[in-house]
Amino acid sequence: MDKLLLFINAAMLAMFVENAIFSRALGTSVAFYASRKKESIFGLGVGITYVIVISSCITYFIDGWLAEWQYFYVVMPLIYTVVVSIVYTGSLLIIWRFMPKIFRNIKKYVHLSVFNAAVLGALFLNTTYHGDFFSYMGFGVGIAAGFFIAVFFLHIANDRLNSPLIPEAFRGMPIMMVFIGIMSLAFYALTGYNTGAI
Amino acid sequence: MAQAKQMKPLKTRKSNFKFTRDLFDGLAKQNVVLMTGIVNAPVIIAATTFKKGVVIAIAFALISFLTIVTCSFIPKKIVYTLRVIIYAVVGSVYYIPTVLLLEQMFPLTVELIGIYMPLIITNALIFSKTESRFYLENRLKMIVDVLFFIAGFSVICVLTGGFREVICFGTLAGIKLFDFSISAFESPFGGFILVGIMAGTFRALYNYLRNRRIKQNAAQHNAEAVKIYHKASSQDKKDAATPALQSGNEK
Repeated sequence: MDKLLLFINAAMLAMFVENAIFSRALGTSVAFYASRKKESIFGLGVGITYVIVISSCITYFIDGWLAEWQYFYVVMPLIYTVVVSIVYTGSLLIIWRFMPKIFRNIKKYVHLSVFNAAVLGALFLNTTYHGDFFSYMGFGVGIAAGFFIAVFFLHIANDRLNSPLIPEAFRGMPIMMVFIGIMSLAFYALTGYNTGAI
Repeated sequence: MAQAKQMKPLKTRKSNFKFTRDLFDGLAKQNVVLMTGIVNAPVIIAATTFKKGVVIAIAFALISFLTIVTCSFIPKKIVYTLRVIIYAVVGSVYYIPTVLLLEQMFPLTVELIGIYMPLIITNALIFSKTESRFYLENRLKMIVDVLFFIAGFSVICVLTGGFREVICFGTLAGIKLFDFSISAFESPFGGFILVGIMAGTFRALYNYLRNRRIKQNAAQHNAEAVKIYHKASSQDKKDAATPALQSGNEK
């Protein structure tokens, strides 16, 4: 029961306080790309969740071994990149061998769901919080779920934000940024952020 | 043979013209922060002061440039799905000397930037632009093009950092300017809104200048066309008048 609570706690923290897009701007360009089509939201969401959760489980043990090393923070990106690459290659080989149809469909954008700031950022944040195994997993699931929620919000707003009502120069990416900013402000309010102005 | 010799310099001039036109793509037309928005996390979250902006810009320049140039030697025979792994590994290898160097120069700032420093290795300039643009060009052009793209990012990063420092703390590069401050612009939502407004304004300015240039070119073109027309018509009149005069004289 305690383990489950730890898992849920870490997942909620990652989803709302450390939201990949609204609080950390991790993988914003991928989110813009994914928000255009409903299918890509699901595909990228599943891909990112899978890679983050599996990689988090592996990095938990690596962090345990190397956390005390003085230069760990310097080689950390290289180690995590290798971990993510192994997960990516292994999964691709399995999909290619047993599900060739799916492989053909995901081949074009699969790298986007692996080598992006959301995946590596989630692993770095996990290391910063340094919890136990269930917290690592919960945090990974939470970051991916937070990313999925953010992309879904962007998808809902996509048509309105690209409508002729918006001045031409602001249509697309600029107004999307402002929209994310407002959503981010709402998320900060949810967690009780104080700007210091009052 | 003579024709071929004449064609050669024309061809070179044409490619040179294209080369210079494409150079400024990275600075304005395809600026990675304000126009395409493919690299924005470090600018939105981490570039909250001028110094941080400078450190991020240096790290981005070193890691991206070295990675893109090194990876250009990877054979194209390897499928992109696997080549992308090499890009990521090369980027993280170059991250090591870069962060050690920057730590010697700006120890506290590197620590304050936090996870956004190693995240530079996953930037879209390395993973997307390489395939869609840089590796389609010859090596010299690619190097110059990459430098301009990096310059485009660096200028915006430093400017955003400086601007946020002024409005958040009333200082610029640590020098006190005034007491007024809006601390919300230091937060991620402030960063998003600021970069969004900057991007919109930059696009509006770019479109205005482009349209003005097109209008000027069109006007110049029209003026030249009118001149040629007048010249041609006066020549025709002269040609028409000359036989009449000649026939008059004969009479």
